[in-house]
Amino acid sequence: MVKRIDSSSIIIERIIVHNIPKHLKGDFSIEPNYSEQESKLSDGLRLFFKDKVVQSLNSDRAFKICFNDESTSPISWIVNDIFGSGGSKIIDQSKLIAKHLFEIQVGSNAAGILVIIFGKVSKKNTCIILKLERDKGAQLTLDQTTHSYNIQEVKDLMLTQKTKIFKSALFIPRSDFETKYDGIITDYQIDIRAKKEVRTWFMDIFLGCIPFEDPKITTQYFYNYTKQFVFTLDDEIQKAKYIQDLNSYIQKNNQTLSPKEFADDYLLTSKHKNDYKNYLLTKNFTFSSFPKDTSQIDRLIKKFVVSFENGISIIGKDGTFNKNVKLENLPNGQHRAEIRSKILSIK
Amino acid sequence: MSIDIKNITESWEKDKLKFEKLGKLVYPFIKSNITEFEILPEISFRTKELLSIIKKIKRKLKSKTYSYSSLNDKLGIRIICSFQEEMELIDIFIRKYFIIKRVEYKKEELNFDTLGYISNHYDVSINNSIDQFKKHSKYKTLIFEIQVRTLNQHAWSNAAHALSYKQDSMLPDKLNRRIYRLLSLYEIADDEISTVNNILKEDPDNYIYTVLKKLEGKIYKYAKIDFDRDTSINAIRILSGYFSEVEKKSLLKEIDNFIITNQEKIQRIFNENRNRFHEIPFLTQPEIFIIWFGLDKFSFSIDDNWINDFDICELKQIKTLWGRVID
Repeated sequence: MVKRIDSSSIIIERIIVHNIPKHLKGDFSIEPNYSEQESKLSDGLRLFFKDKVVQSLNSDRAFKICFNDESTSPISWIVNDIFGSGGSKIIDQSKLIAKHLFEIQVGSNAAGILVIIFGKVSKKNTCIILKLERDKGAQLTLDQTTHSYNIQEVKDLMLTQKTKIFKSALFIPRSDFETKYDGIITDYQIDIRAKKEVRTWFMDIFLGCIPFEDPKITTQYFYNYTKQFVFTLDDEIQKAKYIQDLNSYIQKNNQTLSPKEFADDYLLTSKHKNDYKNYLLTKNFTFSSFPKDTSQIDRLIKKFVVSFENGISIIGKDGTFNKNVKLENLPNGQHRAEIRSKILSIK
Repeated sequence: MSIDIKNITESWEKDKLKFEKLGKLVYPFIKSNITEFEILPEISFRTKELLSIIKKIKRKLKSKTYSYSSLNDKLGIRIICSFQEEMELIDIFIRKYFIIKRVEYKKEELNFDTLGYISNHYDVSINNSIDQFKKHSKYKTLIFEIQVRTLNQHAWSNAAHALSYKQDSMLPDKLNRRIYRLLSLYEIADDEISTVNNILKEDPDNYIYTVLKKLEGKIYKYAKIDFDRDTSINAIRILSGYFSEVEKKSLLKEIDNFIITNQEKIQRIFNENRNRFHEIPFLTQPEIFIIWFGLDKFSFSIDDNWINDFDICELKQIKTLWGRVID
């Protein structure tokens, strides 16, 4: 039976920090600054970093990933090696993660702090990678005696907002959880320049992962289930509004879709939102975000049709309906549609 | 019979530290574990003063054979509860965790037409099979007393003490009658407080109180501290305004089960954050369970309204504590 991942159960056992300086592509005159030992964790620090991890997993931007067999990223075997060692190899293996990150970064990548965590989630092993980006002025000091960075300093930088978690990934051993995915990723900094691409630099190149669910299929399910939910409502005018909202939401210029975001932005009442969430739950459909691929539904989302009992239909294309057709409920249960435009052609 | 003060003094000098240490072991144990019964009684302990030991032995010796070793309240623990039903829970608690040498249920000793002091007294020793007591087996032969009473019984006991009143006092009938009238009021007060409490727990017209009553024991159990009632009443009033009638009914019906289903998780959250309760005051208030329940069952009812009444950072913190379950 698939074991559930309950982020509230995360226990941080080991944590190590590496510093990745900004550098030009191919410039290897500088190197990552590695910690040579794990950071000491007080209870307060343990909770602080746990909170940060949970917050990133709670984010609407989190989604499931699996390792891509075709990727050249070494992360999959490094993470598995950390699992295999029960966390005891975290120093050496986390340095390999830092080295890999350094090697694939180019001049446009900001300097960063890499925090690698080994611990438990739902009583099983987990490995968590946090990529933090720091402001120019925010510096970490390498302790010359221990040759390591102090995690307290990372916390202080985060508290002063000089450093933020921009990306995180939580990995689990599939066999322990009996899942078909390897982890969960949250990327607060999806590259808006690559709007058409489903994958991100962090997920694809660095981690060597792909989304667990095929975005084409997930997008199609999202569309179908949301439409089915809307059709359960009684008010025809509301249905018309929500279907148009769905079409325009899916066509927005974003890489991911999220039922929660759709509910927040378009559904009018808390009841509709709660009912929608529960409806998707009954369909076992995620309520958080997933990568978007509209190729299976492109034809459907660009056209909106309202058909009346009297045989009249009104067709709107590419979001034009809402702007040009006013729909109203009439007291006798009928509906009125008002179109204001100039007749273009008559067939 | 004469009293060997020197011998008693030496014995007490030898024993006092042991009883003090035993008190420091047993008191926090009771305080921490009694909340598993979802109650939060007042608990205190004291070791007897030498002078008091000597006076008591002298007094007892007047009517029977009595010695230093007969004295079972060298360490005394007092548990004062709000409602008389809680005395039964505390009785279960004491039987579960201590070895009872002797027990006096004073109420049971009274005839129907007699009034008097009605608390429960237990002479006990620690139970070595309990994990927390295992490594303290050196104290297992020490007998100490646990007194359990309600607030009203405690009030009467204090009043009686102040009046130097004893049941066998030779007072004029007129005065005795006044004392008995007073004593009966304390007993009636206990009954009435319990009755009113039970009625309010089930009163469908008093949603806020019913919810609060359902949840206050849970805060005792998990947070192990008292909460601020005014804050709770205000928060529950606001939160219940966020919910539809259907949601309010489901909360009342399902929240017990929700807490039971998630008890391991809830216990972990409280244990992990015990040292930073001051940073997350919501975690020490019964309404935390309403918020978690709401977020689990109808999250938008909370999400959409929270900002009108509370700090959004607090909701974020509460969500972080609860985490996210991924199938």
